[in-house]
Amino acid sequence: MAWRQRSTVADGLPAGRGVRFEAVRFGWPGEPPLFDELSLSVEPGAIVALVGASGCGKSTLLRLAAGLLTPILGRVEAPDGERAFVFQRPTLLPWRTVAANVRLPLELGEAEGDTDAAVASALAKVGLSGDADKLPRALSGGMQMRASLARALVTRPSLMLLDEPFGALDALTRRSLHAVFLDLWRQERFTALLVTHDIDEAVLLADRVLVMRSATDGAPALIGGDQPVRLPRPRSRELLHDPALGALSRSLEAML
Amino acid sequence: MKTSAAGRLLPLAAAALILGLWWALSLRYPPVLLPSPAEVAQAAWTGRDRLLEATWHTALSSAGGLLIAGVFGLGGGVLFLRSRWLEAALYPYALLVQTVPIVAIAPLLVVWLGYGAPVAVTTAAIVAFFPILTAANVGLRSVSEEQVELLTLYGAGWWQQLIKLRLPGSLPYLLSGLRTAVGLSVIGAIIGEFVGSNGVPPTLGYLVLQSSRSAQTGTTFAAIFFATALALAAFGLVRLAEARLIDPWHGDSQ
Repeated sequence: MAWRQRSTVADGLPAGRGVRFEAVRFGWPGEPPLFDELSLSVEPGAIVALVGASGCGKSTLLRLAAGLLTPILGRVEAPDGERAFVFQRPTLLPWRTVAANVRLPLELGEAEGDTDAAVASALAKVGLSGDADKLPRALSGGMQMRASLARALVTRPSLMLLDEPFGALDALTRRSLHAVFLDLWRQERFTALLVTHDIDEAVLLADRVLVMRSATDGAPALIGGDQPVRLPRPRSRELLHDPALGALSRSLEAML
Repeated sequence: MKTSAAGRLLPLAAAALILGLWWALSLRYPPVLLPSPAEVAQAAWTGRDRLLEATWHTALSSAGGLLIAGVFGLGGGVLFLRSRWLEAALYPYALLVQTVPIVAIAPLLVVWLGYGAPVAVTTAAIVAFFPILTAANVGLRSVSEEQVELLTLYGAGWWQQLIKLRLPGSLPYLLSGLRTAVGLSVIGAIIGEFVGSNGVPPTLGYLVLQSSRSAQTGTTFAAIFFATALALAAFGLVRLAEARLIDPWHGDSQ
């Protein structure tokens, strides 16, 4: 399969499990279940995109994977080690400098060792070394999102959960952040579950695209499509003009 | 707003006009009813030692009351955050503290506490309490759901979320509540001093009352000006704290 071409990465795949949902039921109190008998898996070290209409439960699924929500029935397995979550908004603490924001997960985890070095390294990876002492307010939206990515990276997570992190950015900034994200993934080899409503973004970044259908008439939401993206890496935006990819995008759109 | 020369001069012009009107009016009435600005200035100058000492003691009482109000207001906010039940049970009484006329409580406080600063400290605390409680209550809940999720994800418990997220996040609200509370605390202290101060040491509340009773209206006016200056200075200190602590990060961008 094409996504196996990144053999250098495959050598270093995390030894642990990927993400597995087994027959998960979840719902909010007083409402019909949002998910029932939902199963899916994400291979260790893969990027899997989850697309679907807004409000269909993508973010809820991500929060189940993060352990922020607990299923009523079934099991959610995540890789051993740290999980990181990147929100749609940068969600930086505005009174902390960029570096202090990036340090936050280490503080909360009472990390030992050289936290300064970990923070500096995370900032360098997203290209924010020169902005460490600035307050978030002084940063553009794209730079704030870079800081948010650096904060997610600082614990060297084995699982990265991303909730439409690039959705609120302008097109150019989004492109540069796609490149940053793919770079990070190549270096860090985390497993990633990426929620997006942008199909181009999904096929450009992911090894697999899952299409989620909304809950309707009391029936739970479900994974209505599961498409591998067999494109070589590293990928560039020119791929988006590839006819094969166009067909893939169209078939995904049809599933929505 | 335009900070043109006109923008700076207009308030000064208004002040000059008011001063002029006051002067004109004072010519028509005896000084006991309305002393002229010059007579007030003279009373302030001759009585400056006593006025300054009184201002100092009133300032101490206000600050003491503010400190107590801050501890109870912020503590109450944290307690309400911790327990919805406690909030439901106690919030109506917090409102009651706000609505009971402070002038009516003050004599009772003298019965309990005797003459002296404790009465003024208590009245100042009572009036300053509610704005701080309200600010804490709103501020501690002002954090976003994502921020809470972020801290939860990294294993932060309730106290860690309070210290790392909710307390710093509530600072803009607390300082804005404090801005209201400082002015009130000066008023509260003076009301307490009306009944609870016997002039040893002198306090602004005592001076206002005593001078107006003994027909030294110039001193009354001077004491009122000192009280106003005290409240303004306290307000200015809070503004300064806001400018230093909050303005760099508090804004629309998040």
